[in-house]
Amino acid sequence: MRYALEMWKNTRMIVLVAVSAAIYAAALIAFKTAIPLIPGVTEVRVAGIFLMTFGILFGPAGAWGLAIGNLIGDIFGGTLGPASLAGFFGNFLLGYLPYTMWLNFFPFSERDYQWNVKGIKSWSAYISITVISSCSCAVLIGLMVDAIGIVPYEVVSRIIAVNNIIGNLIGVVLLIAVYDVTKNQLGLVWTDIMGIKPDSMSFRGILGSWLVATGAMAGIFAGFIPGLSVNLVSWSSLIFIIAGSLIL
Amino acid sequence: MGVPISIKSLSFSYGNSKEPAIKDINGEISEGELVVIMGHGGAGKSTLCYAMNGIVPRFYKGNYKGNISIGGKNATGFSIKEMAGAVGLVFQDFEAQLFSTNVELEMAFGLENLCLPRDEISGRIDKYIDFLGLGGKRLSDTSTLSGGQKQRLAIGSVIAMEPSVVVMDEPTSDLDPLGRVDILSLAGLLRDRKRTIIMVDYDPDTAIGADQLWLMKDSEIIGQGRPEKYLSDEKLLLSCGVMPPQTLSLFNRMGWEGKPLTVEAAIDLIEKNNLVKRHSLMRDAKNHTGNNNFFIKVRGVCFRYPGVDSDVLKDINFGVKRGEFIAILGQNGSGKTTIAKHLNRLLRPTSGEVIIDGKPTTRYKHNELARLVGYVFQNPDHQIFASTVQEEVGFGLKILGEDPKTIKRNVEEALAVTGLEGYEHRSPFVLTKGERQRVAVASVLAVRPEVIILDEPTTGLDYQHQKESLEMLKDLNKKGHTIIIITHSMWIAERYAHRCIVMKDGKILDDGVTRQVFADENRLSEASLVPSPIVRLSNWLGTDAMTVEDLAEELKLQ
Amino acid sequence: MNLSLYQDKGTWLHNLDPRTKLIGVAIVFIICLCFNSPIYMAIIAFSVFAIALSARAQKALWTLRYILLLLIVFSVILWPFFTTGKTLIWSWGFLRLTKESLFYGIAMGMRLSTFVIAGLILLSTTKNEDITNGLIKMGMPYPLAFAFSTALRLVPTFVGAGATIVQAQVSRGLDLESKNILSRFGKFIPLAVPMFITAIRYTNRLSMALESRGFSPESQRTLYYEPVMKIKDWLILSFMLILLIICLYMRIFLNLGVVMPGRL
Repeated sequence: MRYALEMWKNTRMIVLVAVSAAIYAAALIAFKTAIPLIPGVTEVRVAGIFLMTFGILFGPAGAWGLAIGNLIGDIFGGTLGPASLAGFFGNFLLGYLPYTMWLNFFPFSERDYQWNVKGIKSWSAYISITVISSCSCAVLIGLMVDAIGIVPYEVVSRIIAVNNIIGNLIGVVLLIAVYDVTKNQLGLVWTDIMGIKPDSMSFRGILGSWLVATGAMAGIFAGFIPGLSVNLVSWSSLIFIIAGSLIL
Repeated sequence: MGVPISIKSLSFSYGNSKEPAIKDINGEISEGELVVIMGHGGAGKSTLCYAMNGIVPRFYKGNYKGNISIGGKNATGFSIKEMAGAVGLVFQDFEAQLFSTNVELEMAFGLENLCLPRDEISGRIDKYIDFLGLGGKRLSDTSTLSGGQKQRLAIGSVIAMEPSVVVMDEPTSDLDPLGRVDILSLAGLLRDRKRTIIMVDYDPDTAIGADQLWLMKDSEIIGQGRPEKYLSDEKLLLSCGVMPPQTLSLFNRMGWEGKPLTVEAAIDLIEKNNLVKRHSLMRDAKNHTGNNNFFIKVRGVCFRYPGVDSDVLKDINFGVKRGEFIAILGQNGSGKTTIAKHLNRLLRPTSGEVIIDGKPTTRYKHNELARLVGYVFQNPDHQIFASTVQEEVGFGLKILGEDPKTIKRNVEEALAVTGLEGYEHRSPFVLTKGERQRVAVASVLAVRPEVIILDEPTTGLDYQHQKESLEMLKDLNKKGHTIIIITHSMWIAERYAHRCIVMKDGKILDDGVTRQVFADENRLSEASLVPSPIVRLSNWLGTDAMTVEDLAEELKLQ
Repeated sequence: MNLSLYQDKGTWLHNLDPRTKLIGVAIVFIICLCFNSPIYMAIIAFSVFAIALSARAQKALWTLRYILLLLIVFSVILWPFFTTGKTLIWSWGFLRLTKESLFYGIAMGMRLSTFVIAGLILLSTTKNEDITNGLIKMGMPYPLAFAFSTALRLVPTFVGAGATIVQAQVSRGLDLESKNILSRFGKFIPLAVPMFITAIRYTNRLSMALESRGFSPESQRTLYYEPVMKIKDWLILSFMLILLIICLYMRIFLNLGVVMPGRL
């Protein structure tokens, strides 16, 4: 959580928040009217291809960028409401988990803070974090919009999860295409901008990652196990996800 | 008066690069001076500007040696805020310098950062807004301003912070000719007010009357001093990628005495020394529309964007023959790009029609049209996405369903024509702007369209590179491609185009053989265009030539 | 390109302080969450709709008519399957439709429409920079507010760049007109990569220009446009607060306006 706050002291990171928010919002707006799934809540998210790329490359700036970008999508789309708050935090997680879990989601994690297209570790980290971050976001948004009466949790959480996973899996092509130029040519990988070396794997990081992962999985799959109270499981999942994110 | 700026053996290289961006720079600038910096692309001009306001090395880290002192204080010792008060920096890209939604707020932005009280901010705005020529636009949305006005505003919001030195890094390169006039006149006003100005520019005209000219080549300053001394050195200027004053080149070629830097000076010299006789220019009566065998016909095209009340194009009619080289001229917003985009159906006319090879564009299949008319967009970054140059250039062929052998052959050929052999496996993103532009051209070329449209293909390139690109287009034209370029650069139209179409306010103002169009200076001035010096001189002399070489030859024959 | 929903009409709502509107809309959202009975929701929905008309937001509302209609239809169809009540109306296999859940669905449809309308009132009567100013005055840190307002300003620029990129690739032969969603995803890469690169090339230029103008994230700065709360702002805010307290009291202590206990 530390860097997510410290980054606000760095001009380039602040601009990066604005730029990534604007890209995300522009993509959301361009496709919002085209293919809504549940109007006012979620649509076929072509913009989903940006999620992991922003998270990994821009770190905290990507996380804030996605959060603000989603909010701006609501503002220009005319669907500003209490669900926008849920969208803000949910999209924050989509950018926050990739960079915090990259080195910590043992045994799937990468050893160095890098994307190596030929490295199996990079792929395992990318795919596992894609699933976890997409599901975490889905649980968080799903619960909040269910609580305020927008759409039932069982429907919306799965749509959001699947939507984000698909977007991210296609988005790996984007990451492959832009990683090198962003890092070496433009010097805009967040660790270089902030001049830090991200903390290597720690017990705390592993614990946080697995708390989030447990919450995310339980929250999405609980509904398939008969006899379990979806309500109880999903709210406990959310607590796991929030607790895990906070210690990451 | 103290010395505002003193630079001592300054060198800098970016990040982990070993190549220095600037090397051993020295210089003294006194208060109230105008210093013009010129040089080829990548010579280090921008880096030098950045060093003057501390962006180098504070924002761009790297290996910094030597020092710059401003008003006796070391540049690296200033805080960000102090520096903003000492040296104001204006960039080429005016869009990236505006942060606010209206003019007044934009001017206030820097002052807010300096923590000035609110009434002082409004006092400063009052003080400068008329000077900027934006008095009537105080509350206008910045997005409604023209390019020239935006750049004026960017300069104005820097000046409102009252820095002792204003540094402008190619402030007019992204502007149309009117916008350039706008900015140069503002710079002139600043000069009258005895501001110290440092300006990077590409046109030697700007340097005439400056106090100092610094010529840069390969990271170093190779000429520094009174402009007259260096502007008359044709070879030196060319080696720095700068186009020498045309009148001077002519005098050198003719072996005439004198070193005129402007048309007026040249005319004076010619009259005084009675160097050559004037003729009245023979108006060529040949009508270019005599032969009606048009490949593309644009008939009564009007266009308006949905939801907008006014037409962007008003009843456009013209034809394009196979093998022509056409330049479309005009200010931004005159409809040049809009009409060009109709030729490959990126836009469809609201009324009227565009006929290619006897068939309206609306009746073509998508991939047929892509093979007939290729379009190179202004900014190559708007199309480059592949990881290698080869893949990028072959993309069009691939989606049009060509077999791998044809793709390979066409790509190789396109790369050869654009001078990109050996670049096949490089990433297009790491290339320079000029090289990326050539990749974009190659990727259109590979499809071998009959007609190639290029939207401002030379923006941001230095003279040397502009010339290389145009020579390449000339060769393509000779091989049978029809070329249509949109350009703001008069010398390019004069030198390369057979025919010019001049646009103004969505209408065609003039359309004809290039020599004729450029002979009518009054008509051109309606579109706020001015021919280059050599053509103005040629008009005055009544000669046919449109280039220095041709004019010299023609005069020698007389 | 103009994407903003703002309508320059100068109604009483336009002239309110942005803080009043931001807090007011938040209060409307909470009031909506107090009740889940169709009658109560109908009263709220119509009041908010009336305010929207007085703000002359009908044009913006009209553009959202499909979303509003779909929201209502979706709620009425979906909710009965995911909530249960006591009074059975109809059943088929494991599907049960109860009176309570049907009413709840109707109420939710109206609640969602109210959310959208209330949000729209704010957006059509308040300029983006006023929203940012309001947020700053309410304590949002300046760097965050700056990122927010810069992003708002950049969106139309990027949408425009996106349109150019689409044209550039289409003119190279890319066919975007096929309706297949999956193949659309694939064709998105030649569009997404240039979009990404063009946009982030902006980052360095923007940051440089920003620092050259004396911007530093941590230090104090003046706010040139200072919104001022007037008497009517205070009056409206007090009225809204009292209304909120009454509604909370009705729900919590009197248990009024509830068809589905245990849910907001």
